[in-house]
Amino acid sequence: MIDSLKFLRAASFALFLGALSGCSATDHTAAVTTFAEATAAAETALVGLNQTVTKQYEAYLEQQARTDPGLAVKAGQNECELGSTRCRVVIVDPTAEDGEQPFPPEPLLNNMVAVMGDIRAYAQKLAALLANGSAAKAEADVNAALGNIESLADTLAKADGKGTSTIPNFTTPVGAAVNWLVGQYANHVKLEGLKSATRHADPTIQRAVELFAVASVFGSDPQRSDLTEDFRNKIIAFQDDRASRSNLTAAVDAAATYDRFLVSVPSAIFTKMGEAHAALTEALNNPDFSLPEMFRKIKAFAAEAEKLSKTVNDLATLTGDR
Amino acid sequence: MADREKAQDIVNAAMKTRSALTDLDHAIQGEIDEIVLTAARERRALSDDDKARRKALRADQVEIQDAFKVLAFVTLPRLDASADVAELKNKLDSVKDELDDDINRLKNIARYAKIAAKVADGLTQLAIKVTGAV
Repeated sequence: MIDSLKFLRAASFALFLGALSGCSATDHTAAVTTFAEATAAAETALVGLNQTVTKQYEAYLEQQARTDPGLAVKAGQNECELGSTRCRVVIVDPTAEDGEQPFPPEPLLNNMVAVMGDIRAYAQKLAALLANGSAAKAEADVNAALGNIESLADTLAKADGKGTSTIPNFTTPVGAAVNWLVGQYANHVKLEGLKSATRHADPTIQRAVELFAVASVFGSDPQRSDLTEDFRNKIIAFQDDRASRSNLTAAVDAAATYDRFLVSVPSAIFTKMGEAHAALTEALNNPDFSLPEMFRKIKAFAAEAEKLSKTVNDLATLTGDR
Repeated sequence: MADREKAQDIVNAAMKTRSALTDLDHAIQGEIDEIVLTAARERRALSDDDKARRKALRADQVEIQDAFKVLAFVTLPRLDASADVAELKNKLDSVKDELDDDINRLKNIARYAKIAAKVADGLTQLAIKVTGAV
């Protein structure tokens, strides 16, 4: 009984607030769902970048291990011995203080990928909060309970020999009122939950976005270096043999591949993710903010996520880095 | 976490080096282009001397390209292990907990509504009794 009174009090308060704001959580469903889907694509892009750059690092270390006599290649400290618990190969630069690298190397961006995974999980929870069907379930429970009451009333009326009961006229408005309060309360919890979560998450997401953008610049630099080298070698081959059609074609193809990489601007996806989240936060917390403007930014992020995810995969395949 | 590097410090230093490397690469490419353009202005193929100068410049470029790669390989793990990344993870975990609480509150609605319906049930039974008594 105390729980139900608490619920009715909270629902009545939510009703009051809802009446003041006139805002429904469902107004934001499409935006939050699109944001959550695009965030999953952004995570895929960062995971792809992590795999690609780690693969290039591995190739670099392998080359160093095979060609640099100033490096030692051996078992890790206390490893691969009779009493060891681990056995891994390391490349050691004896002149450097922290000059030991495991080979093959650990993925370079594991912690950032974990942060991005948290952002994806957060976005999915926003969507889950909106999609939560507890109010509908509650309505079904209330209707079932009131249906039992009608049946009980009918039984009693028949036992009294009065034929049909007068009760249904009384229970229906009660059920409707309870269900209406449940709906209002659920909307209030969803809307306040979204407002609070986005407000709290936004500064963190903006900082993460800055880090991911920088990481995507450095993460794509080895590939940038390889593509530059490939183009330069091919254009020089043509400059040395101006009659060669195949050398010209090879140079043009290499330029096109590098150009595709350059115009994909890997950091843009994260910048757009930050803008989309800032717009979502603003739209939820500032009633004057334009919903179409918010949705435009979220759709721009979704488009960038889709584009980059494809480009990263295509380029990794082209350059054999995955 | 206290002895972890700040991401901004890592980025500032790395960006400065990266910028110096791209400037150097650009300057060398300018010299290579000038060799090619001079030959074109004189309407001739590249001479052996041109090719030798270009080869030396290309060797410098390859060294810069390698340094460019190494800079990335050194910077990324430092950024990944920075204090900022650890802090971001903790903050996001706390927001996710907040959302879990909201989702649980919604789940409780069904329970509370059932109880509210029982209240209605009680009122109805009272009404039945009153109706029966009249």
